[in-house]
Amino acid sequence: MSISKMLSALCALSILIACFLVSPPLACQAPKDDIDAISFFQTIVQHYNLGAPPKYDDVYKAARQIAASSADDVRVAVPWIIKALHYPDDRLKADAMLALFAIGQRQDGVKLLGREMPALTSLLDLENKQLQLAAVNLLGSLKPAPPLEVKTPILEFIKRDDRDTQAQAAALFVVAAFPKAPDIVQAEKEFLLKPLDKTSRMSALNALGRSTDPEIEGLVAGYLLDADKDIRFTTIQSLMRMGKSAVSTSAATLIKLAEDPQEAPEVRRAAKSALSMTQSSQSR
Amino acid sequence: MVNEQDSVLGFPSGLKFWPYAFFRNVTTAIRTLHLSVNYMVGKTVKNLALPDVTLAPGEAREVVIRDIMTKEPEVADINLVFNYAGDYGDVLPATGSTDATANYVFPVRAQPVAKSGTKTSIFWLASGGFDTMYTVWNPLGISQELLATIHYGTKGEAYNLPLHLEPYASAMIDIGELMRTQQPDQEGKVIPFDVQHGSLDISHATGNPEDLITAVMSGGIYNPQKATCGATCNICSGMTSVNFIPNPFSLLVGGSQQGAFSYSVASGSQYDISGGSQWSSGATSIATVQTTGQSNPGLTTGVSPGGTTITALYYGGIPANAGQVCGEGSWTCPTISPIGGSGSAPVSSPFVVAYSSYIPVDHVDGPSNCTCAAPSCTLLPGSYPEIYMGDGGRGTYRTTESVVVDSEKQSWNSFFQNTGITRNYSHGSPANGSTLSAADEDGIQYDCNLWNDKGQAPIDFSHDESFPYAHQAQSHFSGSSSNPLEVPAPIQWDMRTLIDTTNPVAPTALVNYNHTCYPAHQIKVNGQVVYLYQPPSNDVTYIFGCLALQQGKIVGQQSKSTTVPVHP
Repeated sequence: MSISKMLSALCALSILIACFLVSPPLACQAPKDDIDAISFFQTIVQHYNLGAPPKYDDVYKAARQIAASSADDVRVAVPWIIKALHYPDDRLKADAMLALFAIGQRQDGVKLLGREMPALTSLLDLENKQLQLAAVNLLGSLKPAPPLEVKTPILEFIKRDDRDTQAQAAALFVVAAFPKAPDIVQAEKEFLLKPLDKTSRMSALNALGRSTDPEIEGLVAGYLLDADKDIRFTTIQSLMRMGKSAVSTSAATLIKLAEDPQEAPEVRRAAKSALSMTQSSQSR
Repeated sequence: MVNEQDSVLGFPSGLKFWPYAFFRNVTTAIRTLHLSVNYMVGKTVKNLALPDVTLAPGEAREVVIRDIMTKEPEVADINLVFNYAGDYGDVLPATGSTDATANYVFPVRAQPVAKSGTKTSIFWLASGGFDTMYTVWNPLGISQELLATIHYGTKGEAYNLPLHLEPYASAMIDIGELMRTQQPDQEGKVIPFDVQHGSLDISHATGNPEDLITAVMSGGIYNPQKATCGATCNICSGMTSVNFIPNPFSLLVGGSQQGAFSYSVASGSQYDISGGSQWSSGATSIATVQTTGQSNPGLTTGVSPGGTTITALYYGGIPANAGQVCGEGSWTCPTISPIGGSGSAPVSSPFVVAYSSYIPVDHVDGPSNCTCAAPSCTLLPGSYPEIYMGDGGRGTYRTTESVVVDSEKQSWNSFFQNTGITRNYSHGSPANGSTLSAADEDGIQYDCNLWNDKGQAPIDFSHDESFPYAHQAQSHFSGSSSNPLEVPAPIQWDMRTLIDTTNPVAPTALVNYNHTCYPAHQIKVNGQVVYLYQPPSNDVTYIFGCLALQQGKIVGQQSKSTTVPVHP
């Protein structure tokens, strides 16, 4: 950090601290254009007020600035972000996750967050369903690619019975990024066979569109005749992503869907589009 | 009917009829009657003035007119005319004709002389020895062209007999005689032998109810063998109802509908008077109407949302339907002018309320990576960033809902919903260096190079429409939708748009909005943007916060009221 930048950061920090000390918390808001991003979470953790959490736009700017900082500055900020992550308030956890996500999007994201992987995977244990889903998203988007060490926690997460099924379905997207392995296929099959709500079912079908396992293909194709038109619609698209072979195997059902005058228009269109794949040279 | 009648009528040979006339003054004042007689000698009308008769209060007296018979032994019928200064009903007349034995009596009800429309005898009989005879007299000093229409049969067939009546001339119509002689009418039609009864109209020769006549019609049903007689029962066959259609009008702003104004007469016929009527609108700022003299009288056009009344007035003097006058009473069949009709004209304006969410830039970085692994990947094994095609300024959307609401009709229709196609790209895109284009569409899936994948989110959103007050319509859209190619992170919205047409020329719209802070959210009414949210950033971190963490939601806000165009 340059001297001028340090001076600037110290100045901004002193303004923030003075604000917290002399003014009611509600009046305390981080300066918008010159946020001291590196110490942003330190300040928040030390002076967090449940009644006046920082505004999203300010958290976003701080997260962006942290992510844009040097690796050394990021390393200074990360411990405070992890502390914020452990703060017993979901709003602050969400703020910390935003900063971790921003760091994770750097090409050295995994390297910078490597030591904190246990803390990151522990997010899967949170009770808040929204944060479970965000944690899956965060882990799955690490750059340059999610490290292998998150695979097992995610597979265990998918198998648990006390987790949000929408977040679990989303986790199928993450495991799909790892090289194909029997434990992954097993987790995918088991999950698909679970009783699920509509949204979770559709997420799972979307995620499994990248599978190449014939057994998974067969399980997915079974939802072509689901009672819900949105699930039928999603299933067709999933089969299309699986490729020409998966579509060809289900051609008879797809023809039925495409020609059923009672079928929803979007399902008919999707079925026709899928069938056209079987006549083209396109394959995955 | 006087003297010996034509043998064809069937009366016993030698039977002669004699006229009688009695008058009683029922007032407490003197009434002086001025009397005259008209009768036909061949085809010539003759008029004979009689001495005035002065009736004291309460006095009844016979006026002897049978002397005429001795002077004119060939006369078959006569018309007695009397007038006096006073009110109708001051003098009660009893007139008619009878034979010497008083076994054959034809009473003739005295009738006022006045203009009228068609007069109808509702029943004649010509069977079982009975016959019906009518006398039509022209009491005017000018000739009249009349038309006697004899209706018969279950299908309402008509036998038309033109009557040309010189001044004060009369004509006699005997139904039985027409049948027996099979006399053809002007179209060659005859009344079949087996017809037993029917009705008869006396109208202007045109048959048009508005062409008035001044004619006195008297009829009698008689049996010449049994010596039984009776008067016919007559009515005015005038207007029975006016018809104003449509009512209500169904008008859109800028749209037109042709109004029609007509009237029906007792016969069931309907006459259109749209063209000759004066049409007006209660509020020309809401609807206008063309009137007589313009190209399409009655053509009504919606101007602005609201409600008004369209009125048509016709000054043609249409005869009223004065009802049945089988008993005593005046039978003048008066005319009415003007006649009017009106209908409500709610002018409605459909408002197309459309919501859409869209990515305001052409492409955005995605959170996940494209993992390249052999054999599907032609690149070096590894992870490559994914980018998504946005909606830029192309007018495409991620999600959309629209509906047509009508604040005046308080109705809605044409709900539409859809999701946009999601397309993601990877290494090498944008191929032209800045914007995704055809050069990025290599069509090869999952090779982590250029175009990579596509998908469409399900189309299953919510909407409801309500109408809180008159002139108001509210559209409520809500939904949630995730990119099918990514870990779910839903766009969410809950938008209520209130249209108010209290001021029809300047309707307004305002939006109560709740939505995620990404992407852009927009409400248009009739094509005009009434609410627009543009996210401050399109980078992946901002999107993650807005959608994966659902932070920064915009909730409980209301836009300012905006004037919206009336025409979609």
